[in-house]
Amino acid sequence: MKGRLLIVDDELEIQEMLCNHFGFLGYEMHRAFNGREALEKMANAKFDVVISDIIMPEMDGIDLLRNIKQQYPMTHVIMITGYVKLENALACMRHGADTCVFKPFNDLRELDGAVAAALNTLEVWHQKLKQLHGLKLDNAG
Amino acid sequence: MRTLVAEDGAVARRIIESYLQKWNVPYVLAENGRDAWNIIKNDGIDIAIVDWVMPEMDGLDLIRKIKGSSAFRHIYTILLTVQDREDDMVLGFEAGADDYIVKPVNHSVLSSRLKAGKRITEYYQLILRQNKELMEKSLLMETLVQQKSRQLFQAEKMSTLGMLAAGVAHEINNPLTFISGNVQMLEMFWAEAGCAVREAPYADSGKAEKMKYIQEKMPQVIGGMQNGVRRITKIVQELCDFSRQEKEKTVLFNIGNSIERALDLCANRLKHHVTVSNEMCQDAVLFRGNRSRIEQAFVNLIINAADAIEEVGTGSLYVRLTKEERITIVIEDTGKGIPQHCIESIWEPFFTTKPQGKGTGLGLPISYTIIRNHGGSIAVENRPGGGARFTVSLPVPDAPVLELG
Repeated sequence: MKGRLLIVDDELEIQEMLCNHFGFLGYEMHRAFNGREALEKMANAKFDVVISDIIMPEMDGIDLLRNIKQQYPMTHVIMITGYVKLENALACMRHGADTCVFKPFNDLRELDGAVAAALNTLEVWHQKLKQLHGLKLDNAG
Repeated sequence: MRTLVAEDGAVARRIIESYLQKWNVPYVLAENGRDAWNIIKNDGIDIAIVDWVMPEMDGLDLIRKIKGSSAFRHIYTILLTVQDREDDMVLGFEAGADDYIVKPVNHSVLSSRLKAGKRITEYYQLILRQNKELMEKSLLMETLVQQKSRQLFQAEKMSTLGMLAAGVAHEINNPLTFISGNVQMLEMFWAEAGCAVREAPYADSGKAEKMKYIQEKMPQVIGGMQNGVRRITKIVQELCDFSRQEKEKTVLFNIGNSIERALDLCANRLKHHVTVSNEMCQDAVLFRGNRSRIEQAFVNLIINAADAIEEVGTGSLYVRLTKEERITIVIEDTGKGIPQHCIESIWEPFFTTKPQGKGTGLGLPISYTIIRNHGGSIAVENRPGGGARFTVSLPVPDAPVLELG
């Protein structure tokens, strides 16, 4: 297993498409329809990367991003949006998203690259911390 | 005041004539009503002194004729009468006379009546003149109102279409996302599975044949879907561009540089069949706005010109930048021009004369929206020698010097 991914999008078809895609690439896939549901899932299990839409009912992606960065600073967040607006991109950046990928993903490799880079960063940190303390960080969050 | 005297009596006529001569009043004489009427028809008369009793046509009939004709009813008419009775006066006024003098004509009475007539005639002429001016002005206003309401209607339509476009773009973008993603996955899956499909042992030769066919055609099937996805993506992007109305940061920039940058961006589309020439204002022309949006507006106009030229083979593109009360950018091409019946429609979204799949019909509406959002306008006309001329007009920014330092 390469890593645990959580897809958050109110569009079922997009959830499924991304789950199938990243599942094929060897990731463990989970999904949620909005920010609130995503946080519920995150309370019960650790995720390496969250891929989240911005405009969603109940809790939007920016709120989710803020919450994740507060509660789970080690979790990487990649935002996806169909509203290609400067303010959206700026909000993602300011609140600490890894990147923002615009829909439609006519080249999924951009998203693949972002996920791989996030996991790579996590892996480097794990190695560093292990070297320093001999710690096992499975549940460090 | 040219004055007509219609009097059959030679003595009375002579007396009046002598007065008029003395007062330097230009005059014409007539001996009867019919002659008087002919003079009126051919000679610009302002005041008519008309005797009541005359051969051929009497004074009352002459006055009725004058007042009954729209071309002459402005003539001030004074009836000469010996019959100083109330009934006759009434008769005279009812025929349309403006005043009357009792014979024998008294020198000072005639003088003051003529003065009164002159005064009234002058007022009347003033009113006529002002009326004419008012009519012209109101006609002008009406034309202006029509023009403005057309512009307003167009602006309103564009703004409604903009909102609609944004909604449509977003609604299409989501399904497009999963179509696009799934097609990419299909391609990836097929890359893995395709060989197995062909190489698997099939007992039935018909089945093997079919599988071979599938294996051959699958890339084409996937390619077709990807092509469709790309086209929809382009339309969605342009719809978003078209509908974008958010207030973006404005800066002061050199618009000549923007035009040159737009030409650079289009260089690939121009280099094979278009000769480009330009004439830029000597001094830097500054404009306040969203720089990349303005460049986008120029790019669309240039690409439109390049496509129009392509349809006739080769040609030239001419760009001119001038600054007077407004900033004016003229973009002219020697392409196929715009059919006259389409000239109003070219700003409408999705209107295109390009072949299917070539143009989305959004380029010019995007330029239109951008320029309008910057307080400008675009006009289009066909050039006399063939091709089209687009004229962009933009407001000169206020006090630019303050921010240059």
